[in-house]
Amino acid sequence: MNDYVVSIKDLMITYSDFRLMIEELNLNKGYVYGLIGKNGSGKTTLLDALLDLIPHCEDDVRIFGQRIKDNEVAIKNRIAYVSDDFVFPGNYNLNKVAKDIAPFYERFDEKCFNQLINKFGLSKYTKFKDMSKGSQNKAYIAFALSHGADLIVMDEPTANLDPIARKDILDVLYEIMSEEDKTIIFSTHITSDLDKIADHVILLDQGRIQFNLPKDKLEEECCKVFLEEIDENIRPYLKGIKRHANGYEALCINSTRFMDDDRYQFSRATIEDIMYYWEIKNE
Amino acid sequence: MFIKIDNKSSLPNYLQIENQIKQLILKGELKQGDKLPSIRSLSAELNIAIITIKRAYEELEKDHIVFTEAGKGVFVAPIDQSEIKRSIAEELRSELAKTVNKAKSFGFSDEEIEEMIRSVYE
Repeated sequence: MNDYVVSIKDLMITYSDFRLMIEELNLNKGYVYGLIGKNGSGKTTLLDALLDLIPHCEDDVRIFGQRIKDNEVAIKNRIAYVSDDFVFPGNYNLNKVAKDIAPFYERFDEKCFNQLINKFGLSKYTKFKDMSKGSQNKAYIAFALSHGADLIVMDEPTANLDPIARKDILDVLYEIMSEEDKTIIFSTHITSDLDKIADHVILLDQGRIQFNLPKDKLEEECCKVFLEEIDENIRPYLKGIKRHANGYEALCINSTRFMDDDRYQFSRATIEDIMYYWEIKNE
Repeated sequence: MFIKIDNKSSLPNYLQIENQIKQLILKGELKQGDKLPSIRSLSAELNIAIITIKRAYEELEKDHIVFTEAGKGVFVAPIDQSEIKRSIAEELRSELAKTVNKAKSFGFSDEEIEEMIRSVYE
């Protein structure tokens, strides 16, 4: 029996110039999943479909083992959602959010909310339309993380934030993850955030999952490699081959197989490196 | 438990954690029967991904350096210094080999390399 927090099977969304096709994606409870991919790769479409924000087939997504439509209020109570598209009314402020919107959530924790507002340096009475983009983002995040959600879904949550604010957000996420049963999935271009906190990394390209790997496996297997010549043994495992004056550079996706071979010089690849080499064509 | 991750190191993060725990044990700072911090609390404390620490603990358990007591936690196993040393020796050896090869590629002779290693001892 599966105990997945999120279970996706054969999810297909078709637009005029784009198709998202997810054959299978299962998220385990208690981990942070990072979703990466170029602009237009389908990250937002995937997260929107996950939460029923866009229409899709009835039977392809399960959250907490159920379809959202079969138990909408109970399930949405347990989900936190942060996205650039999702905005509170411009003339609302955080105080009004606590009064008007928080009551929809059974586990809203006002003390936690106030602590986060303080930590993020926000004002409870400033209207959202008068806040900077970064402060707006922090405000949505503060609310999203204050109602005891078991699944936190974030679409580029830190895109507008300076490094200090991003660290503050990550600090809060680490705290949340110290509890056994919380799950986070977030899409981002700021891959250094994922280097720090992601347990699993999912790469999306042209609407399809290229890989979904635990980060320790990713670090172990996906390394940058410098070689003088490309042996046919290693070629199938290379991505983004670049030619240099005295050799080649590429990403090796099965590094443990070739690590001991003196001909090859391996070095660590960051998630950004992995994204880059995966996307570019071989030279 | 103080652990430091070097993102620029050529070693994967989980391996760095593994090695540092082995060091703590060899130095006597972690003793037989000591309880290791829970994976999640260590993750929050050091700002390292949960799965990285989980992998490190799993590898240590495979090497019989720690063991898990269901419901209670992860504990340092009876210490076999030579066993721990042996598990690190292979890695040290391959790092040494890389350095020696590098020196050779610059034209250093075997004797010059040995002299260099000796000078490091002092």
